[in-house]
Amino acid sequence: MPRRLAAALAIALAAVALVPVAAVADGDPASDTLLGQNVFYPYSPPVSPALQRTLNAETAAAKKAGFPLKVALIASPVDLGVIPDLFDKPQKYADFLVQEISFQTKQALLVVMPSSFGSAGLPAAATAAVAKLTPPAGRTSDDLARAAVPAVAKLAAAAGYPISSGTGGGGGGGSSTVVVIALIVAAVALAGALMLLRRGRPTSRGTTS
Amino acid sequence: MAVAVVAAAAGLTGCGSAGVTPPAPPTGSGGLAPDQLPIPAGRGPRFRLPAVSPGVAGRARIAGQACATVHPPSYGVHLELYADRLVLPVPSGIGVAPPQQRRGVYVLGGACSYGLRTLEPTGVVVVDRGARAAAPTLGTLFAIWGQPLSAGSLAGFDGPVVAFLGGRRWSGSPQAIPLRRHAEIVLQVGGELPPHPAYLFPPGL
Repeated sequence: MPRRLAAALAIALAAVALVPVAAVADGDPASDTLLGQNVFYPYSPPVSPALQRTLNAETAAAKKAGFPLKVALIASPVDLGVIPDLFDKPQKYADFLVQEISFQTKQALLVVMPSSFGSAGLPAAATAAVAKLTPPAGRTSDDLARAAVPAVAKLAAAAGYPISSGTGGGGGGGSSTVVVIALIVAAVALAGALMLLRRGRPTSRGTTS
Repeated sequence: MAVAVVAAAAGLTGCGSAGVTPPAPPTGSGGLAPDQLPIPAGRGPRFRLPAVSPGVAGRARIAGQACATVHPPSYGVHLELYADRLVLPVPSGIGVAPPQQRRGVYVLGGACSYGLRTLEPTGVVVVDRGARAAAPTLGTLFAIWGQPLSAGSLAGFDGPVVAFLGGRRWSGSPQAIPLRRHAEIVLQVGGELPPHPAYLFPPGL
């Protein structure tokens, strides 16, 4: 009987573990936005298009490299919707926001506020790297974005997924794109070599048969 | 865990005698009020509602509203929906006729748009300032959205619909809730949660 009970409990626990964990969301704009894109930008003033392109490309490159990082730039209480009292408390907001945007596993998250950074869901080495990041030089939206660009690259490197910082505004994918291109070139070269090898084989077969 | 706390705090909201009743007293922990605890978002097709209704796609006149290319100054209203104690996301692009121009999750424009529309997935509703003194109602927004709203149904979820305006319970028809500037509206079906009383709107709304 105890064995049956233990087995039933084990099955129940396994079933619970298999049930998908729901994402959580609330009345802060970043939680809704980050479910659909990598970066939440402040409402006002808007981050310059060039910086947006750079940060979008960089987070895309980090994701391709295996480090899907979400970034929330919070320049004013307006960017927090129903929880404006968490303004300039980046770590507290990171702890809150990560619960809202995580699904099966804890989402890697960087929060940038004028005072400093907050983080959640990062590997230990990347969490340690957050403390060494250079805080924003000012309080504008662009200041936060400029601080985020090198921060993303440093966290990716610390987590073991290096990318180049500021991968360009043209939507480039950074080093991971270079790797993909190199792999495609290698595959084409290999296919060509195999074709040449096959062309050569009938002759040799012909000579042996 | 947070859900359990929120669920335990539910039911503190009373019934109104004159349209509204005071909100529940805060009972949260960790420096956050109970309405500031994360709520799980629903997953699956029932919780992923389309933004564009057939009427909007056809640029038809809906509830007295025409699809226009030029709009007067506007203001913001914040709408939150919950079904079975889960967040029911309000999509971006409600009231914007296709083809829609998008940047990420934001809608920048469309062929034409209505006097009530959403341009971001945050629940912020853009409301045109009309010539009439009376504010438009939530029923008009749902008509444009193409989703059912009544005392017994909310966007495909059936059951008593509980409504809050500014954190206070609304005892009338949810369709009649006025969309006044910076209104914070919470609709719930299938279980109550502590409602947010206010929302800090972005500049220009």
